[in-house]
Amino acid sequence: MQLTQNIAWWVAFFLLGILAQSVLSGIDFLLIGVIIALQERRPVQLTWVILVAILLQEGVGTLPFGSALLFYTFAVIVFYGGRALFEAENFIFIFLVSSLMGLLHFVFTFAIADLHNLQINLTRLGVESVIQALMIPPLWGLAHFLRGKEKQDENRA
Amino acid sequence: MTLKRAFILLVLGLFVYLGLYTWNERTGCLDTLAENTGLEVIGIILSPVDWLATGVSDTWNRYVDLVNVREERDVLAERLENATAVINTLQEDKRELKRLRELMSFSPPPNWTPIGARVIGVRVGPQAALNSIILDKGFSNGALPGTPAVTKQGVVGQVLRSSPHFSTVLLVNDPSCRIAVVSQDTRFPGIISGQGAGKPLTVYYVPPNAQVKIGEYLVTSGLDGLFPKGVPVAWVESAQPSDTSPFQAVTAWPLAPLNELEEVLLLQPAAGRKENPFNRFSDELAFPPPETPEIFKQPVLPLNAVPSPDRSISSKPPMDIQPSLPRTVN
Repeated sequence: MQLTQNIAWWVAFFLLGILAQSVLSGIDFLLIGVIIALQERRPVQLTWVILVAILLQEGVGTLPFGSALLFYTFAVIVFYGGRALFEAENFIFIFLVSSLMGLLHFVFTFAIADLHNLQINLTRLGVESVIQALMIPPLWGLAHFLRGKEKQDENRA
Repeated sequence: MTLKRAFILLVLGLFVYLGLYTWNERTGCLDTLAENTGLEVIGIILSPVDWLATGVSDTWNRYVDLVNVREERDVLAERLENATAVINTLQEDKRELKRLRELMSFSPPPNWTPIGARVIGVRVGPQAALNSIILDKGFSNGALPGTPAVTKQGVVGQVLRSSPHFSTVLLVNDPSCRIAVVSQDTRFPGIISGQGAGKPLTVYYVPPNAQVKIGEYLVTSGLDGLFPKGVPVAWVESAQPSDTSPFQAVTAWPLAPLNELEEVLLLQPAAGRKENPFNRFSDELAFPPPETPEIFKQPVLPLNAVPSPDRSISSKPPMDIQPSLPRTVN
């Protein structure tokens, strides 16, 4: 994929991700981009995608700095750990990663809030974690399809 | 990668994370960086979307959806008549208050300047665990952390974080938000805090002998050093002796429509605040003492209740009683 096309794809992805987050509160849509960047195994791309995602999530959030950094670091660990057992583009693998990330979203948010003596709505956080786990696989499938389609168009050209 | 190497990497990563976390706790550098980049970028993205959505909504409401307009006009006309009668009554009280202040050599409180801000987002992102909204005003417009946010109906919350042009406001219904209040009629003090969206607020430390009236308004006492004195916050829903505490268990509902916020007013002392926005701690300490803002000095207008209803026996809030405010000043 050409550099300009790649940048345009990621800009469009982040724009849509942020808009989706403003509509559905508490859900991390940028995680899909991190998973795609992990699958493509391009270290430079992965680094800036994670960096941008961390800055956006931490900047717009209400918790002290730390939980997004921890969340995306563990996304990398979970991905590389799971890749030893499954094919990286296998749907079951994505489902397992999303389930684990849903759980980690609950744990890290609760941990950071508790560390700073902030009271949060645990029921709402639990519901959001479940939605997070359920939404990642289909949305990843869509993003993966669009990303693959763009690659195919480029190869054809 | 061997297991040993993976373990070493994990431990190293943990040390780096804890180092960053501790450094940020001490200096706040990473928080500031995230606010000035992440919040700013998201604000820039959400602003045009909000502008477009508001434009479409306004067009629909003004030109297409004209159902009930006549009925609403009749109701408003009646309320205006009542309001005019009450204004005439209260003007005399206002003049008397002015005379008494002069007589007692009270210096008039400095004005608080309201800054209009538009709500462009509600709890955006997974890190927004607290009940919050995003405004299109940042610290370059005066929305520093701690700045009170209000509507015509009452207190909304206070600015939690701010970037140059956008800010996040912690809502009054969040458990982490605490405001010093006093009841309007019986003058009992308390600390009001939220229990979450859709739930009533809790008023802590209400003395057991306080004569709490149901439906009574709670206004800011100004003792927290952040809010000006006398801004309406909530109305009392229930009060009963607590089984586990020496204080009364009092619940109240916020007056501001927290689920339907479109614009809010950020209150600033007229003198302005010249602190370094990057230093939130010195910023809070340097905040001037609370005073009644000009906009809340206007008489309270019971719009359809003359004389005012007996709120001690009412189980429902007199929702039509609202402080009068001038139009949003930007």
